[in-house]
Amino acid sequence: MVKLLIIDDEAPIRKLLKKFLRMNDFEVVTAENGKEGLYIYKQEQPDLVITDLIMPDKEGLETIRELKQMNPSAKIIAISGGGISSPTAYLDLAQKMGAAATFEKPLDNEALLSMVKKLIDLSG
Amino acid sequence: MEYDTTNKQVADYALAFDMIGNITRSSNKEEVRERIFEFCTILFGPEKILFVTFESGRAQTAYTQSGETEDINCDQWTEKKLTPFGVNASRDGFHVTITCRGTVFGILSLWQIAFPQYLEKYLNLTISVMDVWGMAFENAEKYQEIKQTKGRLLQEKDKLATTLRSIGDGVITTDLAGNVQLVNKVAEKMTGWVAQDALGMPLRNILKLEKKGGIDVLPPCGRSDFNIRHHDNTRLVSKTDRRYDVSVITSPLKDEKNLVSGFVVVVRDITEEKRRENQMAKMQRLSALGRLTGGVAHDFNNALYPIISFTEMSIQELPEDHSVKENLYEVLNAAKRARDVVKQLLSFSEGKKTKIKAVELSIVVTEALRLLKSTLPPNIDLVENISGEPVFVSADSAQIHEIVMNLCINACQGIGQDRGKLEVGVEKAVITETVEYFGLSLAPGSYGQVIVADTGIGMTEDIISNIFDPYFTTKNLAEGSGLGLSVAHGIIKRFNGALDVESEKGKGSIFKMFIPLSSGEF
Repeated sequence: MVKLLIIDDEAPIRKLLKKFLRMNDFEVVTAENGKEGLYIYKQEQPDLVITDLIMPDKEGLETIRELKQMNPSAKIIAISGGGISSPTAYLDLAQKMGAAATFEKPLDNEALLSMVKKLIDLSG
Repeated sequence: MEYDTTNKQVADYALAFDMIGNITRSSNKEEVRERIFEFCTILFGPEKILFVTFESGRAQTAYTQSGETEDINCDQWTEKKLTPFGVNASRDGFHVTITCRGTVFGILSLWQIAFPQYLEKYLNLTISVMDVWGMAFENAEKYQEIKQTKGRLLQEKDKLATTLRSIGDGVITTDLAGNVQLVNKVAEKMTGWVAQDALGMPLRNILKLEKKGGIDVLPPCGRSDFNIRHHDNTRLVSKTDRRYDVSVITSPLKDEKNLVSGFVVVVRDITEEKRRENQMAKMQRLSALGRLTGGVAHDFNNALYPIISFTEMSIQELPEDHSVKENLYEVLNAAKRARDVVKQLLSFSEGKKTKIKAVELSIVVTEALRLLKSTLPPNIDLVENISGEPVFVSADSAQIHEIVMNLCINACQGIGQDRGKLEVGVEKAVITETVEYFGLSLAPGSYGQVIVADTGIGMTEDIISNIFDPYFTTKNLAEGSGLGLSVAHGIIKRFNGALDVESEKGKGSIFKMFIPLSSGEF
């Protein structure tokens, strides 16, 4: 079974993504910040990471960068609710850091699902 | 011989008195001197007359009867002043020192008079008139001084008048009791009072100022220990009911004994200044709002995401005909609407463009009212005039929603704490010929119309004419930035519609929003 890692500081969001993705036959592990996320990534070795960008204690962008350092072929999707500047600004940066795709919250879960499947299928 | 002598003496004195009359009318010292020469020449027929003028007790210039000057030994003559009169050595002439109240004006000397045998008589005659000559000199001097002073005063008066005219501020002076003594042109314009009419009136009648708690521009009567007083942020109400934002400075006028003799009040029109300050503040608030919006949007989106997702999932997990499903659909729609509003908020602060498409007015307005109802105070009745008939217009639904909310909030603020009615309606309108409302023109055709009417305090002509100006507001800072209507106006302009306002002070206002009907469907 394909394993996904969700990194987001909001509990309801972790919960909803866990439920939704499990409903679609994925194994899901979660972390509530970047530091924890990197740790769990090493332990669980998920096939894909979905991470929020604005988080306390290791920002999403830095997390993406470090994930890529750890594993250059890591598959990452970045999501964001916006910040001081526009959400799109952050998301552009995320792509530059190495995220394969970006989504704005509140996001369309079906679209996220398609993207996850697409990225996983690419690796075979 | 005696008879002749007496007659001659009488004649001399008569002549002397006549000349005295003339001499005291002289307006300058040269003229006095000339008349003295004339007097002496006619009466005494001297070969030589010398008049030595004095200044501050020292001999200055010696004049002869022909008007020319002669060189003299000033020290010698200065000493001579100490003797009031004297006869010369050859006993054919004399001199007298002409003074008045201690001031020496000059020494008159005569030589070789025509009839030296009358020397004593002539000297006596001269002595009896020399005081008058002294007075004549003093008068002439005084006259000149006064003339000069008058001239200087006039000059000063002119300068002052010009200065007052050129000062951009209003200047009003009052006496100690607070009655107006002077009103410059600018003050006339600001107060609406003509200077002539204002003179003598109490200041508070002319200068009407508004401020919370009242204004005391002048100190209570009689206070003389008064220093400069400054009032900022007050409003002047003119005779014609015009209002100016002003700052007022009152200073005491002190006389030569350093006692307060009156007050001078300077009134500066700071309306423009304030307007710029407000604009600055509003721009800063706007950018802060933008930053705040970004932060709030983040939290909002983080909250909306679970709401939408869990509601969607719940709908999916329920069996087909479950009664709760309908409720959940409502929740989902509202959450999606909230999502759109946040997006629109963000795009407003970022300046992105929004999309125009077919929007059904009744639905958008109904939903806006639903949101409004939850915050409507109990003293306001909301009446909805929305028929079931769909009205499709070309617009952006989130923006229409925003405008309707804005108009309703304004209406509620207009009603305030009193009992009032807010009526909102949606209908179709047909424009038969081109009409212009507040700078936007409507071509003939069919339009969707949203009407927001209230029974609030209404607006005056003045306010109505400024109502769509950015940052114009009659509210205080906490209540509104004044952006709402100007943004609404801009939005409606993009939709090729128009906004009309009708209002009567004390009765209420009616706002009508026209948007062209769209030909398309959902």
